[in-house]
Amino acid sequence: MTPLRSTGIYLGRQVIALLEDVGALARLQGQVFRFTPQLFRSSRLFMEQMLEIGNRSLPLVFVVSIFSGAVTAVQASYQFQAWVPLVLLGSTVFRSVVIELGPVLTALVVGGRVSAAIAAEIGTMKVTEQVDALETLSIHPVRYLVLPRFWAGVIMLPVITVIADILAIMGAYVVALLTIPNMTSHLFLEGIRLQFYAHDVFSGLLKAVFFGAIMTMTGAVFGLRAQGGAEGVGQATMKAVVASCLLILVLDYFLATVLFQVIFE
Amino acid sequence: MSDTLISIRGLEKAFGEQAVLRGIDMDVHRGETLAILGGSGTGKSVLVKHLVGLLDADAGSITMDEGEVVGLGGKHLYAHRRRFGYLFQGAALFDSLDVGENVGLGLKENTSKSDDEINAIVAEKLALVGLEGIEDKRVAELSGGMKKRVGLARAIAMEPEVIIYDEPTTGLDPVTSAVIGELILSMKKSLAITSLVVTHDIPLVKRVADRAVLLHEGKLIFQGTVAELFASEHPRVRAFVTGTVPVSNGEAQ
Ligand SMILES: Nc1ncnc2c1ncn2[C@@H]1O[C@H](COP(=O)(O)OP(=O)(O)O)[C@@H](O)[C@H]1O
Ligand SMILES: [Mg+2]
Repeated sequence: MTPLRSTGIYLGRQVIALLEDVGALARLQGQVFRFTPQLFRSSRLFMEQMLEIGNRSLPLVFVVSIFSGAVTAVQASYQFQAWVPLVLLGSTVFRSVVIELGPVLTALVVGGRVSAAIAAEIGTMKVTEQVDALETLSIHPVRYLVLPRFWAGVIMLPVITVIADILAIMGAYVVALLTIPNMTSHLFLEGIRLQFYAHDVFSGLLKAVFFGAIMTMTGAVFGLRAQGGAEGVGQATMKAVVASCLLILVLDYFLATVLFQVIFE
Repeated sequence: MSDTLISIRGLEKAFGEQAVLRGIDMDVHRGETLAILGGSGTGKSVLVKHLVGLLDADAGSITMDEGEVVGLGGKHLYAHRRRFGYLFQGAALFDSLDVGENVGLGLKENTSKSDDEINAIVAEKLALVGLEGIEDKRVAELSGGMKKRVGLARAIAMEPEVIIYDEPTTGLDPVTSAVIGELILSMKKSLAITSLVVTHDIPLVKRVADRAVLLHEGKLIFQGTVAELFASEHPRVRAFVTGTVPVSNGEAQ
């Protein structure tokens, strides 16, 4: 076989695999929406999943947020030099954190953990026939396993993002006061007030909702399709993490386009 | 004529290139204990998974009380599954739940029974498998034999008409295997149940089965009573029953 031909076949297979993944994800999402009216039946699982997502993410989010906020302050003041009035520092920090840094960094940090954990849990259940066991007990695995995780992610991500935003702005505030000559508490807060737009905050939280959906769904879709023992679970976990991160970044771009070039333009 | 409960005709299943079932015809009679025999990887689990719609047949039909099972979906499939209890090869207990929750899960999710009613049923089923009072144990604390018994308690919690035992004694020591054999017999007596026992444990077959089928290379090479099984002259059947290498008859080397 010529190298060109075998490369072509390889790429073709990859494309088919990708389309299969996308198809499976779409089908699973459809099932989740169809079962959503029954979420109340899993209220305990739903609460447990929300707590778990919170517990898994908060320590890391804490560190990541404070430092990313601090860096934003340092970076912005460096870029401002003497050209931009210092009163804009607060608003620059606030808006970049709320619109972009808060939701995306939180989603990447939390998403890696959450999608991996879900893929590993559900994947283990799949390869040890626990998913089949649910079926034989007339319990739909999507309703029982995926539904509570999905809605827990969709609700918790905005909550965690709000916490991350606050921590990041606090980090920026402290660093700005400590390191920038002439910066005062009043100046920083005045900057935020000057360019505060509710739709910035709304856009960031809307992103977080979508990111919460992505990380739980990628975990679920690869977990449910895991095959062949512990090795299969490992592969499912890795695929879920990669897919979660990629989809978060890609979707961030599309959401930004829709939100800021179409809706709030 | 025996009373036929489940009837399988021309059942075929392949995974990609690999044809696992190549035309299975068999009947399950109401109230009997049928052993499904065959070497490892011959497709015994694949065969029984079709009965509860865990796998979709490529061709053929499965009827239960005259209703077609192949192609069932949605709530019809779930209603059909409620007629079965399924004991999985590895027990497949839910790691995240304790023993009591495992046994009671089907009731909790499918019935409107109160927690107290469910707890009473769970206690009763655990007693039936000889494991009173272990509701609060974690699954990880159980031995292999206990897992199988909890799996059995879970399988009978919703009072099925048919129990499928997938290799109930594989991997267990002889004494525990004998205990499981006794349980299969007592389930049959106390619950008047139809039992399908997937196994290659010949003493177990002798102990519990009324009839047997033997799966080999995607087909059934024997169907009949247990007495007929042990009297069979067919070289492969004899080899399986006596646990020896098949006598050369042209096809074997
Ligand atoms: N879901 C599946 N996907 C692909 N191959 C499978 C699947 N289930 C079973 N097989 C294959 O079918 C064959 C029969 O499997 P099985 O029914 O589990 O054997 P056993 O008789 O030991 O129970 C094996 O080769 C197995 O690899
Ligand atoms: Mg098997």
